[in-house]
This record gives sequence, C-alpha cells and structure tokens, in this order.
Amino acid sequence: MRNWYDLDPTIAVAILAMGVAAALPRIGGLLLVRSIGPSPLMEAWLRHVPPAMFAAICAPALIKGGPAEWIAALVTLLAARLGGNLAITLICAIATVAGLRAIL
Amino acid sequence: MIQASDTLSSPANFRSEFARGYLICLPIALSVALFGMIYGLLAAQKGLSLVEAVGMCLIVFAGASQLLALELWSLPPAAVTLAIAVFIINLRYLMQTATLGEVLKSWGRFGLVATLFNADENWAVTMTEHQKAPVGPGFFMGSAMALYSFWAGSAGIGWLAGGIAPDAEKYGLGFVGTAVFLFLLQGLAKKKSDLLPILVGAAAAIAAAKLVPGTWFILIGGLAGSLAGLARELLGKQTHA
Repeated sequence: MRNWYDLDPTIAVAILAMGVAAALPRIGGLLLVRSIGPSPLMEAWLRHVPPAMFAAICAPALIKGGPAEWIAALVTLLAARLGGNLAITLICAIATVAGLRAIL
Repeated sequence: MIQASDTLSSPANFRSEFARGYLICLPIALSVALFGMIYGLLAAQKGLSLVEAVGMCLIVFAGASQLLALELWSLPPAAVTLAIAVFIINLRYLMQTATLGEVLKSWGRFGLVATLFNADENWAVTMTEHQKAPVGPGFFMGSAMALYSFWAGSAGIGWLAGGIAPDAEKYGLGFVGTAVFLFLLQGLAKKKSDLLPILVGAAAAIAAAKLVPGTWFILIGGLAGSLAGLARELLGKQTHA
C-alpha cells in the first residue's frame, strides 16, 4: 500500500512531460500572434473565434444528451437571457435535467 | 492621455480586477470541481498517491488530458505517449491564447507565463467580459486562479473520498459543462453576425465528434466557424464597395 505523500520517480517524469506538452500550445498561441504582429485580417478572424469555439465546445455533448438536455438547453438559454446570473442559470439547468430524467 | 492598458496594469487595479475575475468565475469553478472530484476518485483507484494526483492538476491543469492519462495509465507510465496525447488534446489552446493578445498586452513577456493558466472556461469568461469592456491581465489571472484552485482542491477531495462514487448523471450534473457554455454563448451573441460562426462551429463540431476521436472537434468547430464568419465579413465588404 502506498502512502498519500509517495512520489514515484517515473510518475513524476510523466507528469512533467504532460505539463510541458500542455504548456506548449498555451504559450504558442500568444507567441504566434505577437510574432506575426497585428493585421486587420487576423483581428477580424480572431473576433469570430469565441462564438464559434463556445458553440463547438457544447454542441456535441448537447446532441448526445437526448430530449431531457434539449429541453434543459432551452431553459438555460431563457434563464440566461432573463436573469443573466450564472449561478441561478446553472441551478435551473440542473433542476430541469434532474426533473426530466425522473419523469422521462 | 492615459491609455486603457496603463490603467488596467496599475497595482490597485490589478487587485480589484483579479477579485472580479475570481468571483465571476466562481460558479463555473464550482461546476468544474464536480469533474475534479471524479478525476481524484479515478486517480485513487488507479493507485496514484494524493501528491501525484493533485500534483498533476497543478502542473498539467487540463481536465480532459488528465482523465485520458488515467485511462491510459500504467506503471511506469508511458510518458512519451501521454505527452503526445496531451499536446494534441490541447492544440485548441493555440487558438484561444491567440485571442488574448489585447488582454495580456500590458504584461509584455510575462503575459506568456499567464497563458499557462488558460483553460476553456476562464478563457471563455475573459473573452465574454472583454467584449463588454476591455479587461487586463488581472481579470484573466483572477478567473484562472478560481479554476486552478478549485480544480486542484476538488481533485484532493475526490481522492480522499475514495470509494464513494455519486451517480452524477442521474442528478443532471453531467449537463453543467454544457450549460456553462450555453450561458456564455447567450451573453456573447448579441449581433446577428455572430449567428453564422455559431451555427457553422456547432455543425462542424458535431460532425467532427462523430468522425474523429478525442477533443479535435473543439479545434475543428472553432476553425470552421471563425473562418465562416471571416469569409462572410470579407465578402460583405466586397459587395458593398
């Protein structure tokens, strides 16, 4: 049985390797735009990145979620529009899915 | 005249911006903590010590990558394979930090260090706020630290909880991640011109998620949607000229 504070050297090396691998794209993106320098074309493109990527992150999970999550998605959007408060919106979202899962 | 970037980088402003970023990101950090607990639980089952499990959170700080690492776990771990997988999963951060140029401008080279704390959620919150009114490194670091602290803390709690596995799906908790981005999308999409990148991004991501393994769908959807938005903008200018 291992202790809570054990640190296996091979695991430490793997974690460090993963850390470097996760750091490269993070630093790389900012480094890239800085080295290329500002241009109207790139700025116009980067403006469209957030909406496209927000949608890309949640769309596949939503499709897979089935009717309960589809209805909950509408409730979420409505709560976001009316209230604009994240915590309340999330509570509405969770309650809707839990309620619908209990019924459906 | 005082530049916006100068006022944003003053120490007092840094502190208040940091606090604002931390607080705005707090509900999201709480929802991310659910996944952190699941990660900690799995890590304990795979035989990682508490130090190793939480250490991975602090050094790698990437949820999907860490869960995949546990999926592929062996002893000794296949460090090179894991590193390549993590790199590919996190390629989406390239596009995200590329949009942080203005936000991190006042920090100069130090801004590159700040990007180490970029994750989907704090990036999304920062971009949403930046669109309403320009924010600086303080806000970004505040939102990042909310996520960072809750991610590592929840992993530790999950590790300690050991065998108590809650049925998260049944209580609708699996939907939280989706709901966070729906909320952010609603707040961001104010203009009609946002509709095309959203629809193209969603459609491309759904198709990519079916065809390609891993998290490529985020990068593919983000690229397709943003390029569609850019293309329409360029074509619109041409016809109006």
